[in-house]
Amino acid sequence: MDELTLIRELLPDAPPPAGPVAAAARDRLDTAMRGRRRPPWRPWRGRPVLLVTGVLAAAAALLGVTLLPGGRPAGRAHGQAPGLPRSLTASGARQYLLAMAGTAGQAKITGRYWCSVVRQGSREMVVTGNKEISVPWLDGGGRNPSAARPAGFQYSVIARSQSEDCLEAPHGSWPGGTVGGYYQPLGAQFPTAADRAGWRRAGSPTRVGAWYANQPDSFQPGPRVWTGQKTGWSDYATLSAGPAKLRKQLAAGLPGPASAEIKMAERSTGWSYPVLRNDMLFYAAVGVMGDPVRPAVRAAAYRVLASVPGVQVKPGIRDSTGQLGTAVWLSHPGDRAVDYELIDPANGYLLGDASITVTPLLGLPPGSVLTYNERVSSGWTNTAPHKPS
Amino acid sequence: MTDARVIEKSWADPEQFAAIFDHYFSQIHRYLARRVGGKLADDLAADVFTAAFAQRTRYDLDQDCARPWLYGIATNLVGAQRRREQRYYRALARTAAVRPTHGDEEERLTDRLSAAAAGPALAAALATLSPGDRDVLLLVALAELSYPEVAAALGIPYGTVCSRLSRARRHVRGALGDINPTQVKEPTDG
Repeated sequence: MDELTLIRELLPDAPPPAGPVAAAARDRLDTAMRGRRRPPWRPWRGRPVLLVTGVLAAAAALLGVTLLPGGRPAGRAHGQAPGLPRSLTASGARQYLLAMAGTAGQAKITGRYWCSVVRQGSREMVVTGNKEISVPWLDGGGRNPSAARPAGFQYSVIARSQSEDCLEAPHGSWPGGTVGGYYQPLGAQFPTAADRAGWRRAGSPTRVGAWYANQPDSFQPGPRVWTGQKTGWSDYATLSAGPAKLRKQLAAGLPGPASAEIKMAERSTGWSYPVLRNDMLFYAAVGVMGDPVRPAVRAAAYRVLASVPGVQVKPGIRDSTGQLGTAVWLSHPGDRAVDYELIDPANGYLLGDASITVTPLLGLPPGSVLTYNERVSSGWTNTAPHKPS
Repeated sequence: MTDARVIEKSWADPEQFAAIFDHYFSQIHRYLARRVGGKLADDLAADVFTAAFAQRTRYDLDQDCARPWLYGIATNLVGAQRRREQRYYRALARTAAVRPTHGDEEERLTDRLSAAAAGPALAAALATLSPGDRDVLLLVALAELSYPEVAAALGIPYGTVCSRLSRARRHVRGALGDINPTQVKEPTDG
């Protein structure tokens, strides 16, 4: 008899639970199930709406990311990213986001500042002459980048950095926003052994291209610098906890069909304005999730997301830091890459984002990471960020 | 319908989750009863299903069967009761004896006698195992999960399951000392 059998004998099988025990447990579950049917958010009755500049800034910044794939429609159906498991059906995705609204609405604000440490990475390609192509998939103004490697390709690096930011929740006359933080280049790393070999063949330069000319050594961390106090980033207090009103707030600030930004996006992607507008609304709602908003507002943002056509959802994605999250993204015909957001299913906060290839792109196989943001830590605190003297 | 499909449906219709409870409550309760004893198991088993319901949006729908997920939650809840669990094993170490079992097959009787002889040392060994090693050992021994299921339940790599189980079994064997469970024939009196 081995140890496992001995353990089974020492801790003998128990009889089935008594009826009252199972009934009591079932009662508790029933209470939880009934409780979840109530909307966790309350209709917002507040001040007139102001434009949410912070969200717009986030949306504008993310718009660029959205358009990174840049491929023209190629007749392919809305593609699944090979790096991502199968996503939910459209109705399943919507149901999931509505369930997440319930979860997000029950989160608590437990401090004055929401502080986070986020590591960023971006793939850069180095070509003959130690020249670096930053965000190479945008080379040529975002026009349909090639599946093949750039001419003179030698190797790739992942340029890494870290941001430490503290955001203050709105209170009194303070609209909420960034109160300070730090930025530090972390140095480049090679994504694969083949890239390291390519670097050696190129003479093992300690600096890579002009992009890093100001850094003492592009493979070593740079100085950690205070990013300064920035206030008035946005007025979080005005954001509505009502999904319909929040959607209007977010949509009101998006660029119109005649704006130069949209025209350029239409030319470079081949997408129509309604498609682009969905993208912008998607990222505006995602931006709210990463902001120090009331839980009820974050819940409303999830309901807005659930209303955006084409949203893809896939639970059970683990990033390289080991965080388990749910990927949420929009796919388009002809996408060469997918930009997905990773949300924390426990509370609805953003864990990070990444852009990965879904077809061969610039010599990279499907599933290659182009850019990423990973949240190393985050949480509420009452301690203001320390400004260096 | 798979568990994954039931859980997916429960996102929009929460009461669908009752089917998961109906299917798994008894076996989860029995696992917990073996680990921590009856009364605490009653509470923890109820906690498992309310926690699972609250976390249902985190469920990986690629996993058709929810069993490892529920055992993982149960194991985590036991983790919050480590000290009580250790007290339970220490109490067993003092009182371990032949327990009534179902059936009287010769082989099973021999097992019971062997366990009775090794019981105090075995219970003490369980009490002094590291929590991570104990979780793996008991998920294999009591819940009879496969190694991949243990990996899924605890969210650890397959290789870690193997190494933890190997370490835990070495620890138990070492703690049994002179008692060779393969040779024990009868419990001794006094």
